Amino acid sequence: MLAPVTHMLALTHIRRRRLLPFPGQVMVRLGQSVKPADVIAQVARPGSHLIVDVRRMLRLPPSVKMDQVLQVHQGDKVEKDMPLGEYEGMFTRIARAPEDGTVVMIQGGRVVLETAPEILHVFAEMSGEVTEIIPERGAWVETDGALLQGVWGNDHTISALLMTRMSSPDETLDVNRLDVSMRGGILAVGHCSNADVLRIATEIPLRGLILGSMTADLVPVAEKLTMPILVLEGFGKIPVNPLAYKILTSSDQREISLLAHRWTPYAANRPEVVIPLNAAAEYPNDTAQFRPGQMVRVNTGKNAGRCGKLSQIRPGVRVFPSGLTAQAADLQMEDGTEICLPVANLDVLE
Amino acid sequence: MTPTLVDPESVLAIDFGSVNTRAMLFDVVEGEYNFIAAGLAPCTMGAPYFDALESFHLALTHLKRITGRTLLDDEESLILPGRDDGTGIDRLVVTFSAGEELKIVVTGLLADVSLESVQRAASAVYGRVVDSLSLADRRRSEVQLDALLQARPDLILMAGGTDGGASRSIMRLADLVALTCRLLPRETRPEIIFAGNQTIANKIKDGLGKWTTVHLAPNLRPTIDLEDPSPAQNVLSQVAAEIRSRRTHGLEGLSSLASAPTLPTAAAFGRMVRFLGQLFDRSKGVLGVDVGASWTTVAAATEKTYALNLSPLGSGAGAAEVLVQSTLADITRWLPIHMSAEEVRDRIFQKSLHPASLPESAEDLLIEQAVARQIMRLSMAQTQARWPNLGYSFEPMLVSGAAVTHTPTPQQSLMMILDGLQPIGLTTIILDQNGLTPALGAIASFNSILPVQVFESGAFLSLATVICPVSSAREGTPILHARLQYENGEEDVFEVLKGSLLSLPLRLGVTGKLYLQALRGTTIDPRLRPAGGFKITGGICGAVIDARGRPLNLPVEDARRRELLKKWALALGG
Repeated sequence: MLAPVTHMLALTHIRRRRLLPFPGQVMVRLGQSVKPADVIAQVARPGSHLIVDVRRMLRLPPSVKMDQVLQVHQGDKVEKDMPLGEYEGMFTRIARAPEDGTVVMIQGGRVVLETAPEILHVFAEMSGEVTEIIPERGAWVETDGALLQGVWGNDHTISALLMTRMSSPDETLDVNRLDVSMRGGILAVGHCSNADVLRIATEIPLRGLILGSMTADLVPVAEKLTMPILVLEGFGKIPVNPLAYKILTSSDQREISLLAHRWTPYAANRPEVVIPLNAAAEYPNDTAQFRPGQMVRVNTGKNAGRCGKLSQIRPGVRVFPSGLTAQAADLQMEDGTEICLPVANLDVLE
Repeated sequence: MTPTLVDPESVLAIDFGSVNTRAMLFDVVEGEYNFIAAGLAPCTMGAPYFDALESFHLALTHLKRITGRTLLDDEESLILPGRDDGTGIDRLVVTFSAGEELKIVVTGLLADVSLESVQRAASAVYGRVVDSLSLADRRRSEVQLDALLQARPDLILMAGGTDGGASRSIMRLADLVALTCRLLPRETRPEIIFAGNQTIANKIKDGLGKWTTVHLAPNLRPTIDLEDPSPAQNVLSQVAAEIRSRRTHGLEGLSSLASAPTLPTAAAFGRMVRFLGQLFDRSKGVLGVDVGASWTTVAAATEKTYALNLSPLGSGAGAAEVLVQSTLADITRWLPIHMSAEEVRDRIFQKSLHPASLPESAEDLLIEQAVARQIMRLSMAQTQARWPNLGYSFEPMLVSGAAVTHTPTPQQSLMMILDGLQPIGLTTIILDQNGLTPALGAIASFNSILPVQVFESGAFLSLATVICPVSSAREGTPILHARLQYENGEEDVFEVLKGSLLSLPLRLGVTGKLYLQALRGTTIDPRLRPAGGFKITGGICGAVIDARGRPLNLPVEDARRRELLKKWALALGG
């Protein structure tokens, strides 16, 4: 049976694709070492526009051909007040550029100016090496290190020093525990349930926040902040899973990449933490079938966030306390207890 | 009685859902089409597979395990057509709801005429309207242009003008659309569907066709007082399916094997509801509601109206959107036990992260069912707002979606439906527990016998015949005298009090004659005046008189409300 896989790996080989949404210019070369802030590829995308109706501004009769009037061509850069078109009648009439810009299109008697072109950059987002160029679109970047995958992110990324402040996996971050010594770092803590904590964290400023869990009422607050926030386990009071806890507590003061991508099933990027390490490693398994002996995590219900070893997938189905019938798995938990849960409520940690 | 089969054929229907891929097998058993079995596999259209074929093969493997029937050859290709040795299948249909939602821009002339029509039409696909343009739009052209460029739509649905009517304003909007297309990189240009004034359709196609793909559809509003969105919705469904197929590895190849065009699941669901609307009493109308993990579909077919409305509300990934569109109290009011609002919110968000997960505890199940009730309330309200003449009276009402159909008892399904849809009058509630409706809708395009025979087989479960009278009488006062005469001539007499829920003891498939006498100005059914009694058939939950009132008002006081919810659940048998 196909199992969802979440990586909580102390050392693995990480390969990520960095792509433009449409063709542009690749800025790196094969074999190049890159830092998180390095630009992999870039493209100019349509910015703000002004439509200047030269024919109407000059009050031209239909008999006048525009190519006799227009002073600019597609691709020309123009400055504010520069003539776009000029008509010499009894009095010379001039249509001027209302702002600095580039002529991106001339259509009939209208000149379309792009006033604020935007350059879209795709960044490496993690330290590594460019191992494959995707012409006009981007590249594959690879590195070795620890990899922690989360379940929610507010769609921002950053790289900075990790500061782990956890004496237990479910420790709650409160306002009193934030101080200026954390300035510029990425803080990893167990849980947050206070919107003020998030706001003060941005004022210090922290560069990012890794949370085991947070309460769902913080979602709108976190989505408005530009500071990257990544949630490892989910919503409610869910402790950081033991694998992630071990990796985070042993990586204090390391340079990490916090990629708090928004997670949708159809997006290639998951919210994740990459901690580059100077050691060679194997590729992880992104796919798996459930099998006994695997480390699995419970993803919903009152046991959410708990981890254990999969003892067996029971044949047939069983009835759960909800009254629902479903395929069941027996788990041997970290604390020695045994529980039976729907297979659908598990993901494989590896 | 359905027609005899001239050329019987086995049909495989594949539905790519956002959580599961389902392979449903239909074949002829003893001279009639039957649903044989369904194979299930987790959806693999998303990460890390990004390949529809992976789950297709797994679902077929599961189906083989259940039926023993070989559907794939040694090279893992579908055996099509079926062979004499019983392997393979004769026909294939494909539907999908999985995949990223489409970004749609709609354009029309008048905000309350063509723009409204085009918005209604756009609600038939898995998409979100990201911007709209009309004559009422006061933004400057360049602001509109930048908004379109920023929105980066996948599709622009253009309407406006009656046939032979306004054209200049439409051409102006088309000009802006052309400008947008020219400024966007070729790979990201939206496809256009034009469903406006047909006299300029070819002009629009020639003009915009230089920059992108243009599809022509019949006018949504051929005359000012006539709206006919169905043909345009068909084109929209087709284009949406083509876009999805191109973007999903494996889907295009599979679609090429199919006997009918690949359809969005909702479009196929709507087609079947429409088909049923022709089978049943047209004056009553048929309602279909599918509560999915990410989307909820409401389809209604009445004598004059066909409505198809999709909302991004669901019991899985769509659960978080339910909280955006309603308050937490709208959900917690359906809980018969005390749970903190914060905990309920956390669990709903957690479920949205793991849409395939199942409620393990009783509390989790209650939350999931409360969310399902609110989804049905919201979806019906949206549909009613878009088609105000639809009403709440249908016969039958067909409901599907795991959150509603996969419950510990059928009474729980019935309770959710009564609370969520709040029907009025006399209706039969049918549960599509196997999620077959979209498959039958897709199959109906080439085989009209199969859907009828499968619908009449045991594959669909009749939950109950339900009578929901409307009365302004005070709570606790008698509003109906009911006399139920059984087939053996025996009778039971009931007094129905306002605010009560009454279960009539009529077993599944057993008929009886129900005589109702309305008291205190009570309306039994706005569509009919049953005189001298009428025949009813028991469902798995018998027959039910829901006299709780419409709209259903729950007590504000928490303890009283919870007691009442428990009392109602008990009245239906748990």
